[in-house]
Amino acid sequence: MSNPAITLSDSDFNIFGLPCQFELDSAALSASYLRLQSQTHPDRFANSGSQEKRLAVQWATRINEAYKRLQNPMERAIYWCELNGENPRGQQSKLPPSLLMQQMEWREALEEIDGVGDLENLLDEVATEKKRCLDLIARQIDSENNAQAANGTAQALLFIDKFMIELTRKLEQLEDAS
Amino acid sequence: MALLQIAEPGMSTAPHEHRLAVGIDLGTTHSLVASVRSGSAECLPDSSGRVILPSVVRYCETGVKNMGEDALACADTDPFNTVFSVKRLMGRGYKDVQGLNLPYRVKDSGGMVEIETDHGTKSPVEVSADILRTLRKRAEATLGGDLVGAVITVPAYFDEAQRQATKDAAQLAGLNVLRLINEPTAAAVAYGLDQKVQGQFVVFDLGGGTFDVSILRLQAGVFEVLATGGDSALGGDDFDRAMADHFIATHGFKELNPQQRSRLVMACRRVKEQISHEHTAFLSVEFKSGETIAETVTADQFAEIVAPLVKRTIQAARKTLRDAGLTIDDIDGVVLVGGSTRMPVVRNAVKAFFGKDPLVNLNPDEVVAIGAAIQADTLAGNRSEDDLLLLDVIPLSLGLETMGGLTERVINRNSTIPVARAQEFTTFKDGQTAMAIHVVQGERELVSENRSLARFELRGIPPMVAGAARIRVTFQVDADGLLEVNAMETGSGVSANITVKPSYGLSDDQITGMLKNSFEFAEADMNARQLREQQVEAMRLVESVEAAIAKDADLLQADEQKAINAALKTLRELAQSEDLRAIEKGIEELSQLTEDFAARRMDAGIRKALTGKTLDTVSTTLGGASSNR
Repeated sequence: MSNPAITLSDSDFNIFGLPCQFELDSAALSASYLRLQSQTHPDRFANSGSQEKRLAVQWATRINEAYKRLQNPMERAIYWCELNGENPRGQQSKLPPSLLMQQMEWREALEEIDGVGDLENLLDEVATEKKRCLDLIARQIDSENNAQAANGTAQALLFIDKFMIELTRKLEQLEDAS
Repeated sequence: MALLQIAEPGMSTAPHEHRLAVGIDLGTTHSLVASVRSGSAECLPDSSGRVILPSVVRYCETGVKNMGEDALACADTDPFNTVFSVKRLMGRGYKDVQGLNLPYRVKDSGGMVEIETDHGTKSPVEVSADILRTLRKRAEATLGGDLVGAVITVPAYFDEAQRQATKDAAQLAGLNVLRLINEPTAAAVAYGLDQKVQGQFVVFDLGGGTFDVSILRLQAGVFEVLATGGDSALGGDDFDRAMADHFIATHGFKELNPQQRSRLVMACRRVKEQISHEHTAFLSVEFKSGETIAETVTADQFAEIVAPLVKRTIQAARKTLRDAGLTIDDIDGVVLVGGSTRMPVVRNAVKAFFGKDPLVNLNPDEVVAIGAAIQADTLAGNRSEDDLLLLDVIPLSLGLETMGGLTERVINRNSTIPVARAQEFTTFKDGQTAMAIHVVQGERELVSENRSLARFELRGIPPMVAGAARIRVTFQVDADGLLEVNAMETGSGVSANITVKPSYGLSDDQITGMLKNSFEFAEADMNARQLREQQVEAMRLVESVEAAIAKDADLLQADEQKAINAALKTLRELAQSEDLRAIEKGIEELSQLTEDFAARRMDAGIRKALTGKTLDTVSTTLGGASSNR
């Protein structure tokens, strides 16, 4: 019992025994997740006292939360920013003009779309831009350790992500109508 | 001569005794009970050898209840008192069940609908409890003892109200619910363990009244649900009705009375079943009024009539696949569950969409109950703890009503449970001292288009200017998929919380009333029941702490262990007593005394998981010299 206990308020990275960075071995993450749930899931305590059951629910909940966040590259990057004193979800700083321009172009393209094929193409284009931002933020976090720059990129990512959700919803509507 | 010892049922303390636990598939059209016996799960038959119990109850004026086949036989002649498809009414209000066209009398009673029979008004929960009780008794007779508990399956797409209603029905039937699990997940367990498969699987479950599609990843005994979707109001019954409506229209019948309609629907069901293995079937119905239908139905004709229903299932499958972030190429296999997947028109559509032959090696009627039985066996503590774990998700998003009748999502659908999330809100007016919390479930933007789960108020917020208060609302969903909501003003610490009892659910008082009224408990003293429950609870705690010490004694200091041992001895003795208060106190004391121990064990478990080594492999390494493996 020499190491301090791992607590519910430890960071996601700590709970999974991972370095606090963007780069991540997703196979290792999944494997740890399954092993952690095997230890903490309430089903493992079906015959235990209420105290232990409550503890199991708390831990399994915490592990699910951390896993979900670490699994998603954008959420992981935002979380890293938060651990480093930034708040990408808070006050929007100025988004770069190039992104705003692009956003307007996408919106125009969305207006003119007819058919699932068109929409899928636009979705691909936006996904490519998202990928570019993720590559950028990976550098800003892991090579440059620049939280402020990463914060700006994270805000752009949130913007793009919101647009992608909108597009996916539209795609579903088109498919349901067909 | 030594006297034989007789343990009170459920109180036996033999350490390795096999605990009797069952899995129950409480279906729209039929229900089954299964259990693991000598290592393999099987459905339990009734005294006539039938495993399937039609989910039908007939309430006669005299108070006699007919169950299953006996009740089904009366559906034609006594449509008002013969209740079938009650699962479709669980946790549902009057508006929800319009269009079901049920022949019996469903009435609006504000919350959950009720059914009027010649033997009084019945809640859908009571009807379901009657079905569950029949299965419980069947299991107890077959297995020869009291059950420690049951795993009951629900459609993955069931919302909070429907899940809570199911749990209430189990309580009313005298069953201890170990866990509610989703039907497709149960099916995957039956398949996964049977076939030792790994990979990503789709479970396509079309039952009598519900349709679920789930996507699971199976690896090393862990069943991880990636996404689930479907339609809680689409099933084989709809195929019967679509056919009936078709013939009503083509024959120009004006209005059929409930009896006539019920007969026509039953006849259509038989045609549907026949067409599942033959090219044509003959539909013949003659009403007393002289009108008749007599014609040959071909498989093609049937396919055309039900095409819109089949299309809905495939659309739901496509959507769920996207939710899981997968494409058709990522899918290793498709499992068909539910009697309605016997229809070739459904099978062909599934095969065409996924591009592979679906797996059908297990009996689609039994597979859900089998999977539930395996999970029940695990939860009852009969299996080694490392061989099965289900990680399920919530099917529908949970949220709150905000200004303008809009829904603010707090927990997204397909989140792995247990899950919790907090969100902050603030006040709208200066000096506002109360806030109404309206909990809703569903994917729509407008609150009015989602399901209302519960309303409560947070009062006593200190007066502040608008927007200054910080109200933190926390949602916690447990492993059964049931929700608890807590609201707190973070500045003052004023809080309010409720375990969500859905608006369409029953209150605790109603349930207690039903328990008292139900035949089984009419004579029994409720206090005796409570005492017995606490005695069992005490022994469960004793056994669990003893097992924990046997495993992890090294995490305890000598004096701690001494104190715990003393409390164990006390509680063990108390459990034999009749003093309810003392037993409760003993449970409380032992729980508190073991709190740190429990936390240390959890910490040790987490460390063990992170090093990636189980204790078994460690000890194998240590003992390697004497082992040939």
